[in-house]
Amino acid sequence: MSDHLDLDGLADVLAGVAAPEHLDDCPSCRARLAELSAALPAVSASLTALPQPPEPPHLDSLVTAALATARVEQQPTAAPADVVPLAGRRTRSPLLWKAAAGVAAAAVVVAGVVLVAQRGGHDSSQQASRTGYTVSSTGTDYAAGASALSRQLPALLAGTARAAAPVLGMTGTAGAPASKQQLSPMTAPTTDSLAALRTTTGLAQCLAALSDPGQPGIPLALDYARYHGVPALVVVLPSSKTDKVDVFVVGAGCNQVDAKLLFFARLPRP
Amino acid sequence: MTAPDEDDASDRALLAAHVAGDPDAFDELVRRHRSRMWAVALRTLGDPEEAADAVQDACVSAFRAAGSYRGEARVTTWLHRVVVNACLDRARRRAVRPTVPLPDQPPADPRDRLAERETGIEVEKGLAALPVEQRIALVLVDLQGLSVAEAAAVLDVPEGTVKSRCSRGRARLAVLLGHLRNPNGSAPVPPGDAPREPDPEGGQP
Repeated sequence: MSDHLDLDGLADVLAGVAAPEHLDDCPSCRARLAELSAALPAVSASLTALPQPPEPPHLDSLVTAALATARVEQQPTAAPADVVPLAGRRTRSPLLWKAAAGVAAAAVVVAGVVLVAQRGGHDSSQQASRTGYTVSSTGTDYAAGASALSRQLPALLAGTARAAAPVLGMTGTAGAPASKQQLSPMTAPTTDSLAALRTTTGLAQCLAALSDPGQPGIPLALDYARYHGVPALVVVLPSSKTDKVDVFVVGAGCNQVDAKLLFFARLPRP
Repeated sequence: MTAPDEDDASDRALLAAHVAGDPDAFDELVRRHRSRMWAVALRTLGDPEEAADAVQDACVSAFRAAGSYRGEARVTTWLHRVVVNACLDRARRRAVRPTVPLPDQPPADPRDRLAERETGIEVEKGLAALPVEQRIALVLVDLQGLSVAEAAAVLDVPEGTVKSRCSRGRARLAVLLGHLRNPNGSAPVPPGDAPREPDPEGGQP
């Protein structure tokens, strides 16, 4: 007599894709087949009863950003030949769906920076170091996502960013004075469409949307800039990988419900 | 080929409009199907971050490949195929393994197990423990309600393969959920013994 049927063999018999002769001669296998046959309806019912998993609220923004990037790549005039393809850079999606939990933490961070400004600057370096991030308003038009951002990243993190000269993957006002600040976003001009993101509350809500649940949402750098011609805020956050940073580009209106994500890339930490 | 119904005709129109240059058509198509794509990705990969990335990958792939859609299958079937491929790509890149080991100990307190089963947690854990090929087949057929023929079209395999994968997956789940007294090959087998390790290539017929 041939070997007994294993579980897969029994399952194939029940699926109608196998009919081994062994079954004719083996009461034991027939009994196990009958037991399996009796058990499967309950399994199917358990599977069918599983609810559809709720769609996370950030998924819309992520998909929109991914499609925006794809559209840019599809436009020959918008993508210089030597721009690094963006698709390979989009390596991780942020966890946004527990955004509300991060609002308080982000608010604390921004409040800390406001405190720096209110102290009049005599100890601003120390305080800025403590709060850990720099705020720039370069106005740079980040036209090619990861390529432009990776070039600007060291300066953003160092607080020395300037409006970018038109280099690979980047357009901007060459030689324009930078408005690098190491102070409160509230002190920046408020006459543009990013005004809400220059307020403590507005920025805190946006940071909450971008931060991982349970993480403090402390950015490494901010740059009030542009993305493909539209006003945008570049937010550099620590990555879960210590040698990387997560760079988000969000549009005006970024809040804890909708990050208005225009672009995301995980880049090597300079 | 399934006869296109009203929804499918509308989906086809959107896809055609996208190919013709309508800037909003593809976004509308995604809005219609994103929840389903998410469900497939999450159930297949078991990790929300990975699933979100897979949905992004799938949307971008579909966006780019829309011009190659020839209408042989329903648009939903085509989108399922795209998201399944995105999930498989990610799963293979990770060399994905079952996130929950097959049971090698007697079941826990039956009352606890019953409570878990009631919430579906046990089923989800069992599903996550299946070989990815079996898991995808069950996600498509038992969870998403595709016919065997549609699932075969999505996976680009014969219908018999889908039947086999589904049946094998259900059988393993029956073991994992404690529905079988004697789950392994020859009798007698100690209670709680696990089925043999799956072929890493998902080498079912």
